[in-house]
Amino acid sequence: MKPFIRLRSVRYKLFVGVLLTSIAALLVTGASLMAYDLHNLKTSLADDLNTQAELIGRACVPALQFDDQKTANSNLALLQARPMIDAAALYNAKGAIFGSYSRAGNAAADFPQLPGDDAVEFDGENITVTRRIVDNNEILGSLYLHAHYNLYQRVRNYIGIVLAVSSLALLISLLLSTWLQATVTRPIQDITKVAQQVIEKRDYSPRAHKTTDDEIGYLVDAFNRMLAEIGTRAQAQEASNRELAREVAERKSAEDEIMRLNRDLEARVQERTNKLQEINSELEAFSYSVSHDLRAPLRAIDGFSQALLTEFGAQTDEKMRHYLQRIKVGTARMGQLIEDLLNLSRISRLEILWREVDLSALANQVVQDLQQRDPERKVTVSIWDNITVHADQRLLRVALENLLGNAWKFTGKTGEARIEFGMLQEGERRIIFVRDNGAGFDMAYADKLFGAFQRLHGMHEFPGTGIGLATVQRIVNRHGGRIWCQAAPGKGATFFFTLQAEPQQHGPA
Amino acid sequence: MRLTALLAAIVLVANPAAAWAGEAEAAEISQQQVEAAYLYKFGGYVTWPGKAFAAPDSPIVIGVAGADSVADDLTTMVAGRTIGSHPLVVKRIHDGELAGVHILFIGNPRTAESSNLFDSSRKQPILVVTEGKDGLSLGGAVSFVVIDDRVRFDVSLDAVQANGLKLSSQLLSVAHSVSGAAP
Repeated sequence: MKPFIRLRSVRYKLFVGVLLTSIAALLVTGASLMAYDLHNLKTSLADDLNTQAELIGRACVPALQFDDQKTANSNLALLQARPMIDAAALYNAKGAIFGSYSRAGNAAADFPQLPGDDAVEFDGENITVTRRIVDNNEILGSLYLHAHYNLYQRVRNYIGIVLAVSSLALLISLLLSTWLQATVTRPIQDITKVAQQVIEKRDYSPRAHKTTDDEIGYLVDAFNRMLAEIGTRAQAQEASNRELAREVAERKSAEDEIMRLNRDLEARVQERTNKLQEINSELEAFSYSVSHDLRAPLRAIDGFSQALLTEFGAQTDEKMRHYLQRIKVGTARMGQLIEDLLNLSRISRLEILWREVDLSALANQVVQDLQQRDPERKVTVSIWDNITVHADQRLLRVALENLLGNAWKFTGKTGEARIEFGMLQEGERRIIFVRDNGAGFDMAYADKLFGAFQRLHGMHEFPGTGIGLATVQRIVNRHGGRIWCQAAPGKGATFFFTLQAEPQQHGPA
Repeated sequence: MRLTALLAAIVLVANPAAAWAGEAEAAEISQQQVEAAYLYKFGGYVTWPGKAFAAPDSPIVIGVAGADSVADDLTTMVAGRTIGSHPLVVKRIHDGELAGVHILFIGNPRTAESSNLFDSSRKQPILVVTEGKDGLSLGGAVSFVVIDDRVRFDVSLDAVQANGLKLSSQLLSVAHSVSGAAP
């Protein structure tokens, strides 16, 4: 709609321009005509009245010469024929009023006491004429005329005529300007229409029609050329857009293909994982039942060995007792081994119960147990306060028992044993560590450390089943975390582990 | 005193009408003076036959008989005046000699001398002016009469025509009465 408003304003401006020009021209013309006419009127009136005064004055010569006031008055009364003359006075040579005339209906005229010089004076609608009467080079007297003319009436009439003529002229000029506007604004309107079509339909094919050879015609040509240019560019743009769209579609289909392959892969992985888990649990069930079934004969061996020692203790010699003792120690070790294996498999099967766990308190309890079991040891233990995590308390307890137990065990031959339990913050990640200054180990074997039945030290050096760290790794893995270590032979070891920060993403609570 | 005189001078210079007014107050005008003035003014309204003047600039001769004071006033009045191209001359008539006279004023019409003058001026191109209500019957063409303290005059067209003269109708319009038929 905007172009039309703009066009209307062009039309309006043209209209106002024509109107103002016409009015100004008419007013100036009217005013100058009126001024000229009024000036002409005054001049001709002055001439006319002067002539009148001359004639009457001449007629009055005998009356003045022979002192005949009656004749003078009757001469003046001839002025009755001129309605515009209101009054007249005749002065004799001595300057006294000799005769006078006053138009009927007029108030008694107010004549000057003495006649003035020859003059015509205008005062509004009044004219006064004074004229000397001369005969044979002798001044016989003066004639004074007082007349009126309808100056204001004339001006009013004039203004009326000017207004009427102006109205007519305005009307004609408006008609002319309407025609002119049509010739000026129609081509503009055409352009506007085409421009609107282009904007609304994005169709660059229509062309404005050229009707005139003036500036507007040039404008139309320029507009059409611009349209052609834009049309060409738009086509090129469209072609490149189509090319782009085709490329995008290709890329999309390639992506879809990749996604499909990924899904296939995932499905296959899931299938294998399921199979693996099945096998794993079968294996665990098997080892559990084996461990469980192994305990009964072991208990029998242990029991009967004990029975031999107590019932036949007096009959046995030293050598016999030593063998029996060796059997007892072996069965105890085997029982421990079976217990650990059962624990390991139990840990794998246990459901995790997520809750807030105070690791600092847990570590303190574990260290107290260790101290009670081995009251002779002197170990400096420092446990950081307020280490809390979201985890399963039973599993974490087992993990800490193993880690702290290891530290306790491998510092057994160190002079000033020191164990530290703490936590590092590394960005979002919280790393819990257990550090000791015990025997340590060679980092070359670090990858073997967390496998089951892997032992780096001899049984006689540090007793153990070699299942503890495997258990710890399993616990950490089940919490979605990772475990690693740093150590050197004779310089102690440090175990680090993390737990999943967001346990909600990891199975049911 | 000096200031007043100065003002009066300014008024006189500024307004000629004021000057006339001053003259009017100067003297009481006598009947003789008026009659003298009328006498030479008649000259402007009379047409004489061509033979009455020898040349276009020949004077109009005004003869005065039996009225010395009128003759005196007239003499001072006509000095330097002309009517048309004619200068004015005053001639005192004592011996009945009327040759060359154009206007004749008979101041005392009831004397024998006056009667002779009336007779001798008959058929001559002379405008005979006299005074009195019976002036016309005594033989005058124009006769002064006093009406309402003003000097007027009667005209006898017959007498004028008898002497071969013509009077302007303008003069007749200001006459007190006109007798005789127009031709």
